[in-house]
Amino acid sequence: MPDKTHMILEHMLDVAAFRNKVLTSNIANADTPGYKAKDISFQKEMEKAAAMEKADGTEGKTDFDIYESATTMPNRDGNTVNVNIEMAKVAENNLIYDTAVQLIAMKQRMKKSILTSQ
Amino acid sequence: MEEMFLPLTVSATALEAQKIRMNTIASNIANVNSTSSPEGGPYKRKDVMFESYLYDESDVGVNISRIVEDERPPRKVYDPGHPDADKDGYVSYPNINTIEEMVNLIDATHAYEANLTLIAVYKDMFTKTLALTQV
Repeated sequence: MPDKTHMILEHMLDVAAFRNKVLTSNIANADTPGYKAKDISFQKEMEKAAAMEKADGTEGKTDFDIYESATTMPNRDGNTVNVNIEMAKVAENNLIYDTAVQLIAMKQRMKKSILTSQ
Repeated sequence: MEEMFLPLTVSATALEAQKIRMNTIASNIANVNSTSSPEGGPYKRKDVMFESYLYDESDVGVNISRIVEDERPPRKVYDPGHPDADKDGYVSYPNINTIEEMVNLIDATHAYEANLTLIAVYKDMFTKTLALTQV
């Protein structure tokens, strides 16, 4: 029987890992003329994954919606990456990833303690 | 496996690009007084052009498409005794503003550091996930 909590945590890891990729590309292209900063919405992706699961009862594998992130002010060369904002997003994303990892570890410890207790 | 470590590759391309940028800045500062060059005429200020490089939709590396020469007119200094002086006694110096170069250098250094941080973040994420195997 699939474990619902475990599936949600897996989605959290999936989404956070993907978002990390997107943010990495943004930082790498902080000086590329015309490059537009991209992002995905963590909340929307989680909602989408949850909805998919409800629909057919199986694990929902979704494509991520990449959008161009809002910018306060593009540079003169059309680049919209703000390194400070991106780094803040990276920090936030890393915390989310950490949380999911810690929760999975906790669940596993719980299962283990059930199995090993007399 | 390659796919898994693509974010590291993306950051690495950026490190390399910023390093090349720093090299050209160093060349510009080193040649601030070069009145002659192999191509003839004074040294011309160089600048790098960044270009994004698509691995896939979410993994966009960066490339240096070319290194361009700045076409600003040279700085003329009256010095008739100089071997590179023209017939009116003016020497053409490269039009390089060291302050501008230093500002670019700071920018390049920050970009380099940001990418290094992201490599550390990714390594951290990966190691933590790996640690799940030994709960």
